[in-house]
Amino acid sequence: MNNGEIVCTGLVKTYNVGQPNEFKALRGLDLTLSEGECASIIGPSGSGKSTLLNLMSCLDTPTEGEVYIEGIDINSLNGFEKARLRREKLGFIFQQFNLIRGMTSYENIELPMRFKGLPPKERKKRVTELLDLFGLEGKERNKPTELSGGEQQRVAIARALANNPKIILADEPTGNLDTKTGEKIMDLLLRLNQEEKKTLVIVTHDQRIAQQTCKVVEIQDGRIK
Amino acid sequence: MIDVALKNVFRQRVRSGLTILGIAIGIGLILALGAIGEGLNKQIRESFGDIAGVIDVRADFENDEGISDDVIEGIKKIDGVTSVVPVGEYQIRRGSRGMGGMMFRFGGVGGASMTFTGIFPEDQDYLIGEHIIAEEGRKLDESDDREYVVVLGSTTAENQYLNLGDEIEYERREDGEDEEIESYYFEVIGILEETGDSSIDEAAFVLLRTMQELEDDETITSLKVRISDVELVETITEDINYYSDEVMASSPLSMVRNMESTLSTLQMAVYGIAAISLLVGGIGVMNTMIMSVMERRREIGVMKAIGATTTTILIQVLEESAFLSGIGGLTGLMLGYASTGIITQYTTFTTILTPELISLGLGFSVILGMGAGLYPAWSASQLDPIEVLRYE
Repeated sequence: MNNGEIVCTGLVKTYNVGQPNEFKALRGLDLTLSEGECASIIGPSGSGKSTLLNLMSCLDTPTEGEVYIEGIDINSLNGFEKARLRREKLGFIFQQFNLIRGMTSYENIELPMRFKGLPPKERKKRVTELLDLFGLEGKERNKPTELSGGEQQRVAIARALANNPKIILADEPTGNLDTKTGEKIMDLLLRLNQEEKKTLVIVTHDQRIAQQTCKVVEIQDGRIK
Repeated sequence: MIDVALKNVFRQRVRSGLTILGIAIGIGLILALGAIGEGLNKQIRESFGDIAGVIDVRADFENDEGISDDVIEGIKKIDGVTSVVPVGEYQIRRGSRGMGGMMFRFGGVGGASMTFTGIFPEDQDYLIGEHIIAEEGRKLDESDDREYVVVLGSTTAENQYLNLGDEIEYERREDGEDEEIESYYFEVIGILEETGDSSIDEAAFVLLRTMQELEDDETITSLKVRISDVELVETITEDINYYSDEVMASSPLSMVRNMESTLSTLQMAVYGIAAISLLVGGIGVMNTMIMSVMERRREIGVMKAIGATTTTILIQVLEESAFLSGIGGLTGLMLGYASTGIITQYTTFTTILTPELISLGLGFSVILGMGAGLYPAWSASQLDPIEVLRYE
């Protein structure tokens, strides 16, 4: 199956189990996002939206319940398989861009393909393609510090798409950008959703951004409101 | 991902440089000290030549009577002894008076002393070896009985500038009230070929009977004991010492072995010091790697988030540390090479940089780098991306 579907059933995440500071971040959450869907997850801080994103990213494991990425139960995967799933089926976009400082735009975009073990020729073709697609021609030799915020986020999006995943998970993608640049980045993401049928999940607390997505999932106290 | 490791090393040039220097000094030290040790070993082996199966037996200090015939016969019966040759050693007193027309000359600055080794002609083959021939003149002969003749070893002849037909003055001092001095002249009748055995090359052989008559003293104070198997030198030397209190046996070979064992102890100590310095270098690598990993926690977290496996991270950090110490090792090699060159040039030490030493140094540096990188690499690979991305 390669359909970009995410299914969460009965998700419970409890931190510090059995300790005095035990904390339930998610208290039984069900959510299905089908192929090509565009959803925003909103909620106040501490509502559990980041926890949900971490679970969908295979970075964390649920205390109870299951997460299926394209039909694969992530609880059944070992560390190596999770890493493979992350680099092949998921694309990540962060609020802080999180580009590798010592590497050029080109190398940053290339990175997931190197983790995958693609040959240099193939990598080069894909990087060039992505640089073109996001209007980054001429910036391939620049380090992140030499780029504007918008450019950095575009490099980050290009990196997320390197291995052509069906699912894009974005954590406050415009949070560190001014309004105008933020809008441009949002347009870009929505275009990927519409034109390439990527499943898009955006975590945000910005209502204006949430309004642009077709589905708004509001989380409060670890449940969908 | 070697290029990534390289890039990371070059990101902190000064820090990486200093770390590399630390390793380089350690490796350089091992190479330089090792090369000196090898050189000393070689010098010792060379200076003693291939003296093998000869044991020197001397009358004990407290024994004024000389070595008795009984003892000589007894030593002959010890297992492994092939022949026992009595010799007498006579120190030549240097003539200081200008004696006109005398052929007697001493070479070198300040002159040199010389020892006459008195032997019986029939023992000559045992002592010198039948196959050793005289390069000039001839060897001693039974017919030379009581003659004043001398056969020189090649080194002696060369060092003292003596030629066939020259005469060497031997001064005999009469212990008495007026300290009368009598001079005897020994003619050089032969110069032996070079043997590589210093006990022959550096000797001057005369007839024992001539010397006994001249000194009016027939005591035997020294024996040369030849043995069947070089490997038995130590055992037989001990046997002789055990057999009689009258004598003290020693062999140049056991001396060489003693020196070698002292030297190897010394070498162990020196290697120990070098190893400590290398260990310090290794700690430097570890420190640098821990710092480097700490600084890049977020980066490593991101890499894991976007699909790097634990192994990828582990290998990358290991590569980085292996690279640091590898470069350190190569630099150390150059340092070691340069310093042995300088040592050879400006001191009397001979240095030998063996391939074993070089591979030891390089191998050690790589193993050290891997070892020092293990902990930082492991801790980097265990970073939790969620934690790192949330808090940093």
